[in-house]
Amino acid sequence: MVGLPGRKAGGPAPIPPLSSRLLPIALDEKRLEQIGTLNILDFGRANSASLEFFNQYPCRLCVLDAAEPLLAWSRELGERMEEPPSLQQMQLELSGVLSAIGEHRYDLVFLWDTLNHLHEHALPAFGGLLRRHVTKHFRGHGFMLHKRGAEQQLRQLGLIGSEQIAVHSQLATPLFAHNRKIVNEALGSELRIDQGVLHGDGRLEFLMVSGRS
Amino acid sequence: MIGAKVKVNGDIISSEDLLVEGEVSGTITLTDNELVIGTSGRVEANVTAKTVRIEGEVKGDIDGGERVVICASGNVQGNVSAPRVMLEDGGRFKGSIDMGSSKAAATAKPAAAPAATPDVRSIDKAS
Repeated sequence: MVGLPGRKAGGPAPIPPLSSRLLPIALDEKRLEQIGTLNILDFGRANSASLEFFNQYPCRLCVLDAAEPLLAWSRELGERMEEPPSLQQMQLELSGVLSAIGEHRYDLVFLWDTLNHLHEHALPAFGGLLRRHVTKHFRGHGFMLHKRGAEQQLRQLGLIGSEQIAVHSQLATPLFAHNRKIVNEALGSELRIDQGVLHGDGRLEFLMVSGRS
Repeated sequence: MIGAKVKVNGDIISSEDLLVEGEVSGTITLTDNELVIGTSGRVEANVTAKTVRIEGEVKGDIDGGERVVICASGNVQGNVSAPRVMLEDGGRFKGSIDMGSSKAAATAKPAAAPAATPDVRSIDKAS
């Protein structure tokens, strides 16, 4: 897969890419070579640079472009909190929102800011759904709002290297902030945040692994 | 060409190149030819062609014998299979891409802008 030059003139100034310490762990070449053909799940929006990056691996890439649908669903869920839906009902609804995920199990999952697109009440349902779609040795990578006052933005992120993440766009948007304890509890025993790096913007970059690995 | 005011319900099989500016529901098969979904084209169909260029909207699976190009104005929901899949910035895609045979398609990568100065405050390893 290759990218084509897009329209650049007249657009907003490019946002500097982010440096990552955890991506190299998620993308450890020896580990990926052992897997062979990778199944990659990307919660973000397709972009030419990410696709070009993934092209170096023999892989099947599933792009969900899930940020806006998940935020809309979570906001609507927030309006139903007087009679909150059951875990099973939320998993059913989430399966509908993320229907492109299919029946596959994924070796690499790029969550980006997805945890902050989810209502707190939906985190266990999301964890349950994700558990069904990852392999025993999967690696998940993402960010979550960590410090109070961290700027809440709807960001479109993508890979541009094994240590760099492009910020294709960002727009001030109310998100759903959760503390790490709540996230860990919601993920259950089969998924866990293995490593975290706190960035200067108040976000925690995290590496998620299977609790079974 | 299928014009902007033409709607087709059914299967299209062609041994000529085809430009779709109208609406098509069904299947489109152009095994040895090029299919272009123009900017006003709306296709809800599984598509097979030697090359597929999408400037409009496609809902369905796309099988490109040589390549699939999603242009800046293009919007695709479905599964794509082709040795070369190209996405212009601004093009929208939701679904799966099989990149199993696309290694040879990797060409010059865009120059990365200098990374923001790492501003990492701490790193921890969960027990």
